Amino acid sequence: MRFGIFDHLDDSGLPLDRHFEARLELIEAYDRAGFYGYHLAEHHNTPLGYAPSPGVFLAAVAQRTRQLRFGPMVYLLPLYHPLRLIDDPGRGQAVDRAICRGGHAGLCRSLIGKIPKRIVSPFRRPRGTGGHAQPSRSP
Amino acid sequence: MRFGIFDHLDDGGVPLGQLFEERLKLVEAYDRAGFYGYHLAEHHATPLGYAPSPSVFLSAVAQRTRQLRFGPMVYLLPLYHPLRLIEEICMLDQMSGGRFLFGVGRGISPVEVGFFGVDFAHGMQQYEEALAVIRLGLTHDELTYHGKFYKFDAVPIVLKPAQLPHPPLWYGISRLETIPWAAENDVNLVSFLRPVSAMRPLVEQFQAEWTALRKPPDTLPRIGVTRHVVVAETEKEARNIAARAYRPWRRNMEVLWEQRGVPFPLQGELADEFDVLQHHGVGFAGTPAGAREYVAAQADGSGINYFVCDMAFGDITLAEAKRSIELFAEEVMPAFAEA
Repeated sequence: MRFGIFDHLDDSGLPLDRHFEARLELIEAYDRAGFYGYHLAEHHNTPLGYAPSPGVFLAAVAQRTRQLRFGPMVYLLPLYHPLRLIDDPGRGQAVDRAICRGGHAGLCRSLIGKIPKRIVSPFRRPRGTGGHAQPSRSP
Repeated sequence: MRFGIFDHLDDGGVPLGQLFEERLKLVEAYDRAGFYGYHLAEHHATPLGYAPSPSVFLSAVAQRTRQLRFGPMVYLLPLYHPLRLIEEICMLDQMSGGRFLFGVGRGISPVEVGFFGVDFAHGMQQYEEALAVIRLGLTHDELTYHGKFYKFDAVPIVLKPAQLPHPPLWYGISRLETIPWAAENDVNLVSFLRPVSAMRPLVEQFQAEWTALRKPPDTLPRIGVTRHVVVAETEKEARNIAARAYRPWRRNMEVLWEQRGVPFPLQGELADEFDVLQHHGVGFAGTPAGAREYVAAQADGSGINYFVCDMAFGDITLAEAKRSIELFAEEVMPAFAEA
């Protein structure tokens, strides 16, 4: 059995700056404790979710953890421009980013190299169209 | 004079994970060195910019720094849903203890905005509307707006920025006509590639508009230029690094335009080689003493109060950039410290 964490990052009564910092400290504890994945909700314009852009919060999570995998649960796909999801259409370069979510999760993944495969797989490019190639050197 | 950093986060010829981690190490160095602001470009589908969602990289920057302010230079407003940008600005400002610098623009590449389905011809109008919506959202508990591009009815805004009423605005200036708007709205201005002689009229106009609005002179926002800067122990070493690293950066400035058969607007203006750039006075590679003279001449010639360095471009290595930053911080910046 593996264990994960789900988080709404909902209102806690704390000021926002302390709310975010306190949650990051908890996430460090999840990391130390050996949880497999940290799953962050996306909600908008409601105290139910204070990480309406999960990609932004998760980039901080990447900096504060070592083992913990993480991702949105879930990105609300229709609310994003697809190019922010896949980045780089039609180019074989920098596919590292495109594996996940281009500008968002792709960057998180590149920063630490892990996002739960279950979540990113819908965005994974078919093999042979770029795969896991590193960005090629510029001419 | 304050000093800032501009970064394209362009292709560095190294694997992407390495590029990001090394750049974050440089950002830590900027923080320690006492730079005021870190300004990150937004580009799409081009090796010119590997942080196409600047918010995501900047969230990592917030975790790795203590003093450094940071922000996009600039968010391409028509490419975002305004509600999401309101949310991201509030998150980043709160997660950094109020260090966010809110850079705004419409996007200068019809190719890049075209990928997002944005009509470049309407870009300015959409940008202006988006900015109005975002400023309303950042300063109100509820958002109602009826425009040509955006319509909102009583949307609750639950996040607030740390800096009130909202984080300071930054803008990449290209035209004198923008100055009155900037003065009225307390907008900080940065110009790219503009020689000092052409910068002075902008600075003087900004000061004149500021005075006309009866705003105190000591509260004038930052107005500055961005320059490629490489400092090393010897001039030869610095010039060699700059000449080598400039070529891939210069290539990546143009590559997407070329691929799409759209004339590159800086053709003829943007030097092909670093030596030429330096000869035109819009870039510097040399010793710390030379850099002091260069910055002094830039300041005296234009009246700027902000000097923005692009210190990591093309295939500059981590070690080269770190040395350059150290020398600049230790031997150049103190000579221009503000009282």
